[in-house]
Amino acid sequence: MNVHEIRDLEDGFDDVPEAGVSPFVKLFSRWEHQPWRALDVNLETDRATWQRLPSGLRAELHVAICELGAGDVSVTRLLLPLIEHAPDESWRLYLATQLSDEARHAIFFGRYYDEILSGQAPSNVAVTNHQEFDDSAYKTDFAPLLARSVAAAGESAASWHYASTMYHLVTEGVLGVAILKIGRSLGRNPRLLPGLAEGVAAVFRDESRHITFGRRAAMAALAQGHGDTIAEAYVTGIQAAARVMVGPSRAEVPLVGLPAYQRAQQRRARLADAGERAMRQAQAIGLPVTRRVLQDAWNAARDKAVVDYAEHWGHEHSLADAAQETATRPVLSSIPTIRRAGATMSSAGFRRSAVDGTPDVEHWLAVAARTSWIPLEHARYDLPATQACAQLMVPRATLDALLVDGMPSALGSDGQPLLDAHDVFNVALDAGWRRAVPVVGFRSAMRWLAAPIDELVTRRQWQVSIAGPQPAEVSELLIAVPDPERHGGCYVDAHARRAGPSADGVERVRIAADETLRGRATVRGNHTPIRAPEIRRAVDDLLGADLRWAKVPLTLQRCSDAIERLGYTTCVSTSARIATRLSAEGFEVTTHRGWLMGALANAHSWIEVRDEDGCVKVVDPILVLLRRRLEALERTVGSTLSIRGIPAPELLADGLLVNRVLSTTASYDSDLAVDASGTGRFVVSNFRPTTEDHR
Amino acid sequence: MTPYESQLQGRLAPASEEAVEAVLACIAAIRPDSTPPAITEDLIRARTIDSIGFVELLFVLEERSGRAVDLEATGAERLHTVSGLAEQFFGTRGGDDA
Repeated sequence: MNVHEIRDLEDGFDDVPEAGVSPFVKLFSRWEHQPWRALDVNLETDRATWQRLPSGLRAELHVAICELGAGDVSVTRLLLPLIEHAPDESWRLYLATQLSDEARHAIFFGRYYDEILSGQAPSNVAVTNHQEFDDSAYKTDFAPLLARSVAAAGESAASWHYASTMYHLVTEGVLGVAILKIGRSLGRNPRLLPGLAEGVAAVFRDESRHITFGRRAAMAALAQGHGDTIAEAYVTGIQAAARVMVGPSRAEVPLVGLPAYQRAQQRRARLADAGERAMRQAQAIGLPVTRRVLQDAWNAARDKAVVDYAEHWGHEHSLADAAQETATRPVLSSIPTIRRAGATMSSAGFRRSAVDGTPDVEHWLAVAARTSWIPLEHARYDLPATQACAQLMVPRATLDALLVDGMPSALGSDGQPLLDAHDVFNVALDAGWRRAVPVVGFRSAMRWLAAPIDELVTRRQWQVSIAGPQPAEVSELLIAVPDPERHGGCYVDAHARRAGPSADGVERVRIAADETLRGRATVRGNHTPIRAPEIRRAVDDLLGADLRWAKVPLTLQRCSDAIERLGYTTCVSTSARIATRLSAEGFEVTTHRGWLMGALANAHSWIEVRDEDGCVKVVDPILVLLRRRLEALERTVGSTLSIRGIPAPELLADGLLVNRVLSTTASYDSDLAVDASGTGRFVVSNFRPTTEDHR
Repeated sequence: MTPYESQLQGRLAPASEEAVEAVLACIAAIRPDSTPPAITEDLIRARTIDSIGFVELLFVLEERSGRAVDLEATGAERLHTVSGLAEQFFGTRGGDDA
């Protein structure tokens, strides 16, 4: 089985017996069907990405990898006595498979430590020389306890079960899962660290078998009267596990302010999650010990570790507060508000309103889990974190949480994260936070999509102005000339400039760098519903493909497959997709590019296809997806905006040309402004509706 | 003398100067590292702000002035300059009434 086929499975935690099948034989069978190769996991992308990760994320991953590596090295070394003295032959056979799993895990995390964390060239060092993971809290605070219990495994059946409980239920069932979840969370963006994501997913699946075995063995032991032994092992073990989660022997990187708060918040949540898992597991097995006893043991060990940390290092652990109170979810109001740099205006009300009512961190993290980030090869990390916070209207702690969670960024020269503006825009839309600037802008710019069709097809006049940046980057610009005549409109250049075909075949107007192209356009929309079933099917298939509109760089828009893998689409990629399909089916199809006019103008692409009635129809499905976005946002913000017309958004793709589209002779993926060499150039386009009739 | 005094001197009534200062302060707040713009400079063409920054600026100005602007009816281009923003949000046109 190719390792790339492995999916992140957390199955196998079921303890439901199957009649007539030994659960241990069943586990053996699962092992036979779930192989993977630690040496074949491709770490090239991880290697390239690692140095671009925020330092905080690297530090967190470093700790997680060390703990996982140390744990797997330790359990590999300590499993043999459990195999040798297993009370049942089927258990022994199954445990032999587990030994190979643990070796595979140790090798994988050893490779990761060597090749990614330490930056060494790929080699067989991880195979021949186990990484010692000296930074590990597990190594100092848990491994000795496990080693002692396993060393005594051969003394009696009770001793074996004591060791197995410590090994399978605590090391793997509580600690291992907790740290794997950290690794999975931090490395879950498969485009950033695909090697880590694959490896952790495979390890997770293996561990699910091991834990299932441990639970089965514990339940068998309970039935044989070893309840007290197992309970004692479990209580002792989870106390050591809580200590490892705190990590008193490892100095924390000093942080102050919001980053310190955010780290404490994360650690508190992880600790609480691990503790809760320990309680639930005990309950599932039927361990003869109350939840209260377990909770008290866990909390006491946690508190002791926090005190030991302070005594050892001379300052408080980030979990010190957790030791003083019941682990509760922090409330946002306790987060210090972010002060905008340079906010010299009397804007106290503004700063306060940027926080009041803001979705909490958990909401943003849940949203981010559904947001696809722009792939590295297309991303441009140049948006400072301060600006990203201002656009998202969130405190810096929230952005830091997103970054730690895997939102891509690069480090700026000042050591601060830089983000891709598209990512910030898209996560804002996904979150639907009404004060986020992209949400405000989108709702404002796309409000017209709620209008009735008759308002979208009437004749409309617009003042047009298009200009390059100042200071100029090139001496002249060639602008695709508006061409609304095809649809019954007209365009009049204010200076009677004459357009001509440029090298790419597009009719363009040449303007000096400091000039502004000015003109007036009259456009007419029209609505001529599509007839051919093939065209309808092409549109329906696209609209049913669970894609959503997102802001995406033009380079990526030109790769339909790549953008759709992200769950996104744009006017360019939908045009390409449908044009390709309909052309293959024998339709006469042309693609077009122009502007979608309004207060916040956008370049826009669509297709036109000759229908079975001989008429050329506009097919512009992205309007449907924009409308879906608008509707979702309006619902989220509780807006009273009424969708006055077009009860079914799909009608927007049914042969509708809206009176905001200003066409040109450019095809769907052309640049609307180029320089003399044909390179695409930034221009500022403005369109204002006017009632002055110029016809 | 403020950084903008040479631009403002002799061109604006006192009330307009306040309006322009308020707009400039808002720009400085959202783009603290940007070079202070000339009052008639197109903020987007000059890349002082991008389209999202423009929305952000309008957002801040709305909160600051308590006045909302119909972007489409006004025409975004009119709002691309400090003077245009001062006029729309604070009721005076920089330079016109000096």
